[in-house]
Amino acid sequence: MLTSDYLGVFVLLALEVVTGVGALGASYFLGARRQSPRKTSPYECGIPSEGAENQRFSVKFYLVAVSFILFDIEAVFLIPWALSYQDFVHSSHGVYAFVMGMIFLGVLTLGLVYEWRKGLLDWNK
Amino acid sequence: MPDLHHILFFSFAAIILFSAGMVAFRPRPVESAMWLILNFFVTAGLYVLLGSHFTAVIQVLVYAGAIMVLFVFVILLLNLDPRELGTEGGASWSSLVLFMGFLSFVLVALQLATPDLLKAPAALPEASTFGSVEAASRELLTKYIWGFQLSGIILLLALIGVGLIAYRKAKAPQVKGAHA
Amino acid sequence: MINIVLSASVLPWVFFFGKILFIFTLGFGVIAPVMIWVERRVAAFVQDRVGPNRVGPLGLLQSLADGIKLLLKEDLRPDEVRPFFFILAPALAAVPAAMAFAVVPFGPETTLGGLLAEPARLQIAPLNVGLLYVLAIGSLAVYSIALAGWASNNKFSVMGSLRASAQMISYELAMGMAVVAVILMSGSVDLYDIVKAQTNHWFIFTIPGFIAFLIFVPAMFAETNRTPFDLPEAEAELVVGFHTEYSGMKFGLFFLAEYVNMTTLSAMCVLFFFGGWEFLPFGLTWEGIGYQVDQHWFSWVIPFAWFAAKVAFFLFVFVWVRWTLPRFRYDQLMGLGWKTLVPIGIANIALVAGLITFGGGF
Repeated sequence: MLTSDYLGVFVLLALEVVTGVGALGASYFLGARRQSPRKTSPYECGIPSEGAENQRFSVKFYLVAVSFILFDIEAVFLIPWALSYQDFVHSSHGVYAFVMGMIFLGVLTLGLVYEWRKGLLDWNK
Repeated sequence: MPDLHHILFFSFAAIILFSAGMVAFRPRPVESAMWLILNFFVTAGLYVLLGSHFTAVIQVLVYAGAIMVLFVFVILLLNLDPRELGTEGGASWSSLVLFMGFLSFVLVALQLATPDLLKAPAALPEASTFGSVEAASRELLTKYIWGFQLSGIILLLALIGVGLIAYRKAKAPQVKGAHA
Repeated sequence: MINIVLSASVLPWVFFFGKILFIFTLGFGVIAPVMIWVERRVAAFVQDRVGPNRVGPLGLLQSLADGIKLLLKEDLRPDEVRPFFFILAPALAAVPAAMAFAVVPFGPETTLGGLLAEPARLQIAPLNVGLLYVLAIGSLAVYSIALAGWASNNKFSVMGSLRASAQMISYELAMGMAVVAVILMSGSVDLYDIVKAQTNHWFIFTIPGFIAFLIFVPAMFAETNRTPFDLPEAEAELVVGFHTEYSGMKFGLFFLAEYVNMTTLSAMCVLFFFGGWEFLPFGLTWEGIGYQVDQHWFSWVIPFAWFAAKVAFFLFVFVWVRWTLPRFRYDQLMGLGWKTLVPIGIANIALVAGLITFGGGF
């Protein structure tokens, strides 16, 4: 695979960025400009803003993000394994590839089970 | 006559250094996070230049796509008032320029001291399978198979660690006004 | 003039830019307006009413009217908003989803009926790591939502965007598991090769492929924040979630991004499970029924149209489901993603691996 294969990606990216910025720019110039305090205050179903400004949010979001990273990395390791899998089978090392893959999957399933049992996958998850 | 490879390399390197400086010197965490994402992207570009396409995509997938998401989540969760942050934390533009200037000076000095640095790179193994996913996967499953398994165990340990932290947090009294 | 275009040195570039323009126009210029119309008409029929039928024949120009309206609306900038990110988020929204179009192969290899020296792919960027590229770009889609909510400085927006982001990353995992099964079955991460591997049987008709499909579909809906997983945008509950403070063209861009996202995922679904542009499963490819895909310079249009039809079907399914199914509660949603789909995905991977090694096939 050549580095130049990516050229199309960049051209497409440039086109999209230009479109997005262009649309926003056009809207900026074409739209009316009649700001008023009622319009520009934060929207809360039409009532004046109430409740504390700075809510603290639950730590469960953090847990989701960290668990996601860890399982994402697992998937990243699984992809090369899956890619070569058929080659291993064809060169009669199929059992090796299978066993190695299952060990890896098993270790991470343990992690999933642990999180499940600890209740970290509940409520918010 | 500088060839494309040189131009790309130096532009990428410049963007990486610049964005790294911005990460350190900007006062607002979200802005720093954005600069870091740019940094990771351009690093992936460097990997592509080196012919390692697999690492490049994984860099974007894991670093820019997962780890930075965690960072952004944490920043959002902390919900820092911009008025609290102010601009005290950030360095002024002049000190930033000074720092970049110093970095550039060091790099140029290095270039001049070791003339080999400017030599054209040896022929990149472009069309070969070096750096491709297939090559990487073969190495991973044969030579580095135990590293492969060990990383699985490390991930498991990390999961357990997260579980322990969270368990303690869940038992601790909730912060005032905590929301789901 | 035609001779210049057709000359051996210029034609590859014409082809290259032609592909890009074609896909770009389709993605941004055709899909969005058509989908808006489809959405409103299907919604209307499901709700036993007629829907837009005044602007243009059958209401087809309604989207154009909507687009013009959005452009002309006031570019409101609420008070407490963080300006740069407020504008960046919508501009950023459609970019990751549409970037995935760069690796979607929309037709077979072609020499344009002999015009090109060697067969070229109908793919903007024929990346070897196409599938990984799609996953990587997909994982960037979270940022525009997270930024949008945060930049609005409206506590409901932040709430909505956090929940939407958490939902998206959770289902990215499920999608990853389904995708690993597909890689196992096709032996490649090149999207073109994945389609080629389905020449004799589409993966949907294999057991592990079917299971992977069952995992992939909910993940598709969750990634695009569509019903039944659209709680973060729930109209009645969190106002409109992360794009509460957005109006006019900025809102329009989010809308566009949603449809582009849907199209990308539908295309992935067709590529992974339904054989891409191939005619029918079980060996009835275009070559099999005697249609030469490389006879004339326009012969690739038929396979492409077939591919587009399949993608269109899935887009219709998106709309259909939206107006049919009730919404999931957020904890049900997350429970489904982590406790059901991911374990099934892992089991499916083990199943395929076992079948390939010990079963001699799937």
